[in-house]
Amino acid sequence: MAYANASEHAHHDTDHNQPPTGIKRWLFATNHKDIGTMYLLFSLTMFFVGGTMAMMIRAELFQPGLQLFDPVFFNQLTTNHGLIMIFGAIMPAFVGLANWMIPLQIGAPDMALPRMNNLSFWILPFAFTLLLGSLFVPGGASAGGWTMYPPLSLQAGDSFPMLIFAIHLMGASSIMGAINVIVTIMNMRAPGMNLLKMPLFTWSWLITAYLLIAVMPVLAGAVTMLLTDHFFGTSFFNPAGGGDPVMFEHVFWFFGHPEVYIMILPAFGIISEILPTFSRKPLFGATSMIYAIASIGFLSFIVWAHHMFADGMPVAAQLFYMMTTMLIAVPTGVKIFNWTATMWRGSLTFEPPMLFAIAFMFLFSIGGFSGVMLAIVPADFQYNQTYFVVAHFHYVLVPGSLFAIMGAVYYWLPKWTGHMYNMTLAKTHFWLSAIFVNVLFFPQHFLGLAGMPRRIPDYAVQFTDWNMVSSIGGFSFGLSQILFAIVIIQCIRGGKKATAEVWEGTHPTGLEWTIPSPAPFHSFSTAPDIK
Amino acid sequence: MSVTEPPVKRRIRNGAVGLTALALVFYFGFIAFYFYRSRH
Repeated sequence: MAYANASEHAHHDTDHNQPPTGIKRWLFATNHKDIGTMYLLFSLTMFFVGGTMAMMIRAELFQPGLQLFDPVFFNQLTTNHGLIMIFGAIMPAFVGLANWMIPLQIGAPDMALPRMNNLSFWILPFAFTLLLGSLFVPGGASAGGWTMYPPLSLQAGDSFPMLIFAIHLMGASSIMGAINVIVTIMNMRAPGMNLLKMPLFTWSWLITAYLLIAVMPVLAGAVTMLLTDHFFGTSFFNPAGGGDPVMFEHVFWFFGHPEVYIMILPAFGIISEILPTFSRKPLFGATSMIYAIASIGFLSFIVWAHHMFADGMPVAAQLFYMMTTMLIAVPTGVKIFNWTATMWRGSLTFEPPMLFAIAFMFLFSIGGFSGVMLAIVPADFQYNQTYFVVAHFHYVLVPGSLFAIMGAVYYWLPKWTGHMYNMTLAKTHFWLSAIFVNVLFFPQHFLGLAGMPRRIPDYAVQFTDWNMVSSIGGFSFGLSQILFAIVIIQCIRGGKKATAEVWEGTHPTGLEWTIPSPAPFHSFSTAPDIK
Repeated sequence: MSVTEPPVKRRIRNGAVGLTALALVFYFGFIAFYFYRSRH
């Protein structure tokens, strides 16, 4: 792709409309960059809140017996750690990246619906105030797991309606964000940018946004039914009134499995941006990457009951969900192959975004492999509800989604702030994270295979050693993340000036690299021409 | 074509309304489906 008049646009963009000052800039923000920044900072805050809960969980599990917390509070920690990390850290981070980068990548002046964009962000602090506030009501926060299975979740106290309302708010926020992404991409691309010329990050978000619109209302419907079962005497999930608790699991996982892909497809897009830049080669098989993402998106809707094998279901259903789940490995394999082929004989350099991208490829694959193991029905009966499952989804979400987000931040941060960051500190952050994430989660495979159940504050003594190793890895990984915050704060405050291209000599492709660094408050007021 | 032009504004509005309707169909559709299932 070639871009005409890039410097002319850049000059034009810096001439007008400075940002408003003070608190109003943020409260009434309609600028996609400001809203993206707020999403990212919110996500970072929630990452540390959820991370603190993780540290508390690992502290309790350092040795057998009850050391620090009573079991009910431990269950509240696991429940809220999950909810906060999924809905407060990972998802808002991707929405923040989408807000910042989609208009820049497609040559649009802003998101299509800027005021709705403001609303979808500002809902989130209220949602998480409700969720975190529920820790302080009588009976404490919800403790039935992030999956909220009835009848256990219905036994919660005052926290129950707070949890339900918080989830409704998060869902509304996500749906509005997704609507904004789709209408922006479909209507505001620069002339000449057809869909196949669109950058992979934008493509991955387009598919993710459709998944969000299809499944977030399903979660909202499920929790609404929980609410009416609890307060209004309905029996959706109560066998005494003709309902069925297993039905909740079906509707929850109809949301829950695509949700997993909502948290990984944008990561695929990010890796597909970073690898070609630092390999100094075009992305291998770009079109097949798009088809692979779309295939994974489609398959995500027909695999949900693999989360419920142990509930019991007809053999034909077991086979169907096992086969469709294993089928996901095919488009995922296409992606891993294409990324490897992109790097093959490339002129590689190992800046922090590239390090995170390579670690993503290796470590996400470990999570993928354990996913295929879990897809095997008889094996799943063994692994179900053990730490093997915990190890599996943490490998997918931490060195998967989270590493991709960190890679994206390190990739685009100079474009956002106009400064290069401290490379040594960022690389130190990477190496500490990459080492300790394995110390933290790899032993959990052994624990699970040996039979240690998940969601318990105490365990049999034979599990002690690997739990101690895992906890040491957890504290070290957690402390390493302070470096991430330091790098970001230092980069915002100052540093060596970044050029428009930022990564000198790599010649990164994409419209975002044609505008100055930092990206001006308004960009692409006049659409660029795409050749 | 600028986003302030009526055809583009109309497409953006129609897109937003259509996607909102789709979300509402999923929300109420699942509740209606489960209402039906829980009575049989």
